[in-house]
Amino acid sequence: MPDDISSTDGMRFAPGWAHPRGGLCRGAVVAVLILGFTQPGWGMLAWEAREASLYPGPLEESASASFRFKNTGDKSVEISDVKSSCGCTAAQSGKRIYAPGESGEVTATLNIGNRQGLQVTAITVTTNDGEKPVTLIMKTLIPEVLRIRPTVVWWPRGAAPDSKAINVLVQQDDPVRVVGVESSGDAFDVRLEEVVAGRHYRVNLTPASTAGPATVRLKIRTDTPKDKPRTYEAHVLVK
Amino acid sequence: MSSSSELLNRGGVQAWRLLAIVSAAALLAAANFVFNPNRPAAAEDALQEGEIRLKDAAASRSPVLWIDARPQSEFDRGHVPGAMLLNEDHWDDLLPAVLEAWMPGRPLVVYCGSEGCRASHQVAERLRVEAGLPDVHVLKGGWEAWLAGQH
Repeated sequence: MPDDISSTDGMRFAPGWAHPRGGLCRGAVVAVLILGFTQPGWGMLAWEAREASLYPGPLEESASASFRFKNTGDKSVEISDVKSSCGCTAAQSGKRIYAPGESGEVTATLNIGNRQGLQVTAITVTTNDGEKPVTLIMKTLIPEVLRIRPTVVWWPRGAAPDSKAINVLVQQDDPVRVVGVESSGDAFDVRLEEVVAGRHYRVNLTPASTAGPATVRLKIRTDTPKDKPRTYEAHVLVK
Repeated sequence: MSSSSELLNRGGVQAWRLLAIVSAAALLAAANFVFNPNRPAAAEDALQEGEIRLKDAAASRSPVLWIDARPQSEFDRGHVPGAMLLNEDHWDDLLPAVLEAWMPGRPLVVYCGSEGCRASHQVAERLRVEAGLPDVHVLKGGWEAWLAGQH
């Protein structure tokens, strides 16, 4: 009898034959032996890392992470499924079957779209080697260049037509200038105010009337980035 | 006056009674956990912050405005009747239609594919924090829960 027996997941069973709870220990040992003999050649993917943190720049349209692995078993492993928790992220492996000792990677790409802030995506990798599916985590911090609060300003129908404001705060170290605000209609008086140049702007809004429904779309134009200045949106409503 | 052995005996009896009561309570609790079909939901069924169950959304006094936070392709394959698509792939393009449909007092319930997806929480967070809209919820269990609720 060996001094100890290691299971496939690294748990160690100390010898316990003479112990009062020997039945339990013996059962565990037998189970491990059975598993060991009946499935001697399980393939196993060893992952370099199961979590990735990404920091795309403000102009990036996508962010990708590669999760590298190696088949450390003595049988081929087939990756039967790679699934992302979010339709915004495409995930795939280079190929399906990996021979013993062979390395590969699963690549996940997040479409940034209009996303901002921290995005957490789980990628589930299923294999045919009897192992539980592996969950890979991709954390993407999409920089918020401007913080616009609120992006929707509204008055209930019939309310007093008091002025309200949208604050535009620059979140990055480099200054960003708001160069103009365009309104899709004239149901509201729209005035841009520079509070602190390059850091803080305010869009002051006053409805012409709150007697009936009204909707306008604002385009807040900036000077950043220089080659392709970005425009942000806000909405003003009487409901 | 009681002798010390009587006191010890009495204390022993009380200890046994206490043990019996605690054991009976533990047995009852265990039996309830195992056999009671209406036992409290397990941790995985607990609501996360901002979530609402399907039955509670359906019981809302004002008709719910359903927001589908999944990608367009999944929305096209099937969605809650009357739901509006709003995801972060095309936020700026999709938000105006949602605002057109929204009315003060009408609750918004956002869903994505299943319990595991985060898109509904992210969309709901943006509606609450960025847009400042009130009464925004996330459907617990997402589209899968809605489908299950139709049977």
